[in-house]
Amino acid sequence: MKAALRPRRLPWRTVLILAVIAFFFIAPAFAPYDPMATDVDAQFAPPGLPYLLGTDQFGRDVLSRMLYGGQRTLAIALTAAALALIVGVPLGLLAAWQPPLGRRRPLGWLPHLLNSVIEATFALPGLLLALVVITLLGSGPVSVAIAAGISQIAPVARLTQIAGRGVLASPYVEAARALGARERRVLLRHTLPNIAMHVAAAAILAFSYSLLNSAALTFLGLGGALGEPDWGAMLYDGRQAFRIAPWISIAPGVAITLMVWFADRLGTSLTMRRNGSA
Amino acid sequence: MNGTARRALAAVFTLWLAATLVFFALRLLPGDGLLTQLIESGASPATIAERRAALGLDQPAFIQYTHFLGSLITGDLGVSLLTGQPVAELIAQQLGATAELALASLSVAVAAGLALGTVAALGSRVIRRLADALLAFALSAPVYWTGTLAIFIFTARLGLLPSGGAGRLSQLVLPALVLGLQLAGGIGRVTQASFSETKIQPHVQTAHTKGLRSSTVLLRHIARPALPAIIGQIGIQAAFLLGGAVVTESIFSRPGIGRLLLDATLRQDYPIVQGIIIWAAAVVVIVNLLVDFAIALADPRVREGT
Amino acid sequence: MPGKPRLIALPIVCLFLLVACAPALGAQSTPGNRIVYGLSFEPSGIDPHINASAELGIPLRQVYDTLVYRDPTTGEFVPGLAESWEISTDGTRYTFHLRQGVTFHDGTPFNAQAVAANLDRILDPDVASQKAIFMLGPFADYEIVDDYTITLILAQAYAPLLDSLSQVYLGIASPTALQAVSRERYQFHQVGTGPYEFVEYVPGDRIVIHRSPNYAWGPSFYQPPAENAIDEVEFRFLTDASARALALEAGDVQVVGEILPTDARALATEGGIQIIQVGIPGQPLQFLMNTTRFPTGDRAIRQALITGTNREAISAAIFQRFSPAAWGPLSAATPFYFSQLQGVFSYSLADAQALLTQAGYTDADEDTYLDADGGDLTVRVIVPPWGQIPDVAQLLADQWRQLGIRTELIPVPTRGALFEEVGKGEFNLVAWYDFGADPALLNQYYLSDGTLNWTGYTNATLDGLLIQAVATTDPGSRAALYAQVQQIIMQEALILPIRDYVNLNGASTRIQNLHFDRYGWFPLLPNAAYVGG
Repeated sequence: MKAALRPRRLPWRTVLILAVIAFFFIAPAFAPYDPMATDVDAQFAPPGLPYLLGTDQFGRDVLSRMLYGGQRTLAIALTAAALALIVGVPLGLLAAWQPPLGRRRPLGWLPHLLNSVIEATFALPGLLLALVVITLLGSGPVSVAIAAGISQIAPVARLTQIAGRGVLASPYVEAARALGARERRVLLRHTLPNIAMHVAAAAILAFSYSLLNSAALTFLGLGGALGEPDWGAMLYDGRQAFRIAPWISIAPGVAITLMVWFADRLGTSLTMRRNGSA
Repeated sequence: MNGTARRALAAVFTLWLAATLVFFALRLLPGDGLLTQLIESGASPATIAERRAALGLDQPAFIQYTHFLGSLITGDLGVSLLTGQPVAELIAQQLGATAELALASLSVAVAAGLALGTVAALGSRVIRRLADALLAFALSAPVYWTGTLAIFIFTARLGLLPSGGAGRLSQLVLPALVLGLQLAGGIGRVTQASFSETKIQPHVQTAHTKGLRSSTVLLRHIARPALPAIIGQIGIQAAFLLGGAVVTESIFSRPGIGRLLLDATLRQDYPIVQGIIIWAAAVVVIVNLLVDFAIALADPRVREGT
Repeated sequence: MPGKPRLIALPIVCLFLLVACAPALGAQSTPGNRIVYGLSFEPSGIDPHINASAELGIPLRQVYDTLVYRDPTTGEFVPGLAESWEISTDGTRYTFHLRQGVTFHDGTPFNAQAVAANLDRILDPDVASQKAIFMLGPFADYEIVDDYTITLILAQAYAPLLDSLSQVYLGIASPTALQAVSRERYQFHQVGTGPYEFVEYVPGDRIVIHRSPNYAWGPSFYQPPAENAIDEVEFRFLTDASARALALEAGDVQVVGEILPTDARALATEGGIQIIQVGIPGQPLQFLMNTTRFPTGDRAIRQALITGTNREAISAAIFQRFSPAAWGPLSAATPFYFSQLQGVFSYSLADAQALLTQAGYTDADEDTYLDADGGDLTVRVIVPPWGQIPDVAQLLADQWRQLGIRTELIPVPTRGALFEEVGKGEFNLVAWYDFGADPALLNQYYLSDGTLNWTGYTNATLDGLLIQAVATTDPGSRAALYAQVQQIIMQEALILPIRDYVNLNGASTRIQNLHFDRYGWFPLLPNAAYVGG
């Protein structure tokens, strides 16, 4: 079973997706204008020349803001997703674990304790987390990423826990234990690879929800990017003027959807089994 | 200790943990709602001190915490700093609308999510790609944007549905669809992952070669083992929804826990925030209990463990 | 894989059925003279004696009468529940002669005892009023002279008292109703003498008022009910500005306040919708400048910041020209507004640069920013999320860059966080505004020991003028005092005024004669009509 789980060699599609994601980290070099420069006379210019994708309420070039915005947006969402995974997966895995029957059962309380931790974290709204993190660390992309990441820990942990329980209760793990595998090995070698698909799904959810939640902070009036180019913030700006200048939201909207799609494909292809075709 | 008692103890621990976390998280924020309001009204520092003392806000955080836990044990969630209304009552007033939206949007999400996820995992190549893209769209389109667009099209332009409010079924349609679409992304993605995983299990291949009907294979060998993860994801979203869908409630001008929470958080009316989070923790505990129970029904292997 | 499509089709079919059936389910009849009025947020509590929100006044101004009213056009005080009044020469005794034959909506007769009961309630420490009690200023006691005469006694002269008494927070409630329920419950069972009766308040959802059939004691500017007078108003909480405009466009609501300037611009061209702009008295949208911290401690810098700010551009870009530029500490709609400040520090990049050069700021390292302490000349600006302040701040930052000044924006999510950030004292400018029709509101901000003296400016002359203006009842003398106050504030360049606050109301054109009171926020619903419902 283990052999079947090894990720296959990176196919060209994966490389392409990675390249697209990487592109947004160097994209500012291609921006035709300063993304922060306002020009009130050029307010709400429709797509065309000289502004290929039009301008926003401040007369800022939408294309340039989109090229710059990817950096901040992706950095926030990737950091948040990473945080959610780094904390959430171990938490969920340990909460799924049960001491094997028939031996002395130390740590029998641990899964219950961790389960409670997951549940309590679940109950904390992202809104409050954001306020607290902003208060402690000041507003800025780091705070937003941390707040968004923390609020995704519980869902990631819960998905990991549920998937992990299924594997841990399977005859396969029983067999491994019967052969004398230590618990650490059971979790890391026998369980984790078998739930990789679920972890990937949880990761992509954490990524996209972090992206959306960081933008929702602006909507809820918790302050936001304050002019810094950011796809979520652009979408919000566009909403404020959607009757007059619908183009403001279209570019970042398409960019966000493509990015979620790409990230999703990437996650899937990295965890795909050799003979799978998902 | 038997399973039920252990479960109950764990639930109490969860509630305590959530209550403690929120209590101290709120104390990290500067000021409180009453203080801010009184300063703006031009109250003298002496008056402000007097008012805060009357509510016990002048005491050290730890003393306030013991009082808070003390009343919590007796089931008392306290009163709003700004209106003196019992928090339990404030929450109860918003529950109906929240439950209504949660149920409706979850139904949409489950229906659309299962459909999209199944197609994305099992459909032909072209259909899979299409479903993939739809899922990515659902996952990446923020409610504040799709909601605005939906109102613009279906209400302002076509005049088909009301723009918001609560009470009538027609007022539920747009928010349920918009929020449901977003949640369908999550359910669909998990469904897709689970189905993709189970469909290549050796026993499924065996079932196919044995010549079982495709629908039988789908239901018994692919869907059933995939159920735990899907049920889990539905549970996660149900718990979130019952804690209030703040953006959807704002856009569709609906009453609900989410807006109560937003207002109370921004106005720093701490007892309300605390009350809502204790409610949310209770919801999480109950939903998780139901989810685990449902998973145990679906997957006999797990029954032993929990 | 055959067999699958059927399984998938089912939920999709259900979904379409739901959408298809929806319009039929929504069928509902709207009675002729019932309108829906969208409020911009839900107040935390709607007891006017206790709670402080301005929003609560939109419905409740219709439910309560006050002892006096401000005439919406002249701003003069006119009789309300008091037919006339005298103020003692030292300004400490206000005697009100009350109107006879007035009854509350529950049948309780209105008299001096009722006024006294209201004052008792507002002053009761257990009631813990968050605004009304502070509006009474140095109130000491009252004296019931007879059933229809009451004297309010002040510890010292306090000119804003009439202004306070004309506001809904000091609206007169039925003593019977106040007795009948607890402090916390009264907000659900309010009883006044006003043109509309309170029907219900459902938190999170609606407030409903219904026209009172017996109302015959309104102030001079309330017209007798028109043929199509509005019988019932349902107030709903439409907290999202875009949603308010959409609901109006869809005909789900007939009046909304505070729509976005971009929406107002688009809706103004649409048939069936009128945009009603109302200037709000009080402070304009402004940035208070910290005089105790570098570089805004330097008056030249403060002047340069004002002169280097293109208010016209801000008004055009953000407020779609719906707001006039502001020039001083009071908006043009405020009584005692000193109009000669208009044009002072008007935009000139060259003048602003000259001010900076004269003050000795140079760009020796040629990084396009002026130098200060080995770094760039930088101002730190506290930016709260409301009132489109983040948008304004972004434009300011860009405009000041042309002056060679770097702007650091400090976003704060809540009022509490703003107070905290101000308390740290490490800011140069903070965005803020406050509303009211009496300039006495300036005292908190500009008295040397004012609780909100965020400029840190101290000036004995200014203190004297502000204190004297509050103790002076004669309007002519007050006007002279406030003219000096406004001049000093701008001479010292203590604030950067941006724009007068304008409430952009949107209404169906079927609503006629919708006007607002002197405070700007509160509609005079008794005069309005709803045609063709």
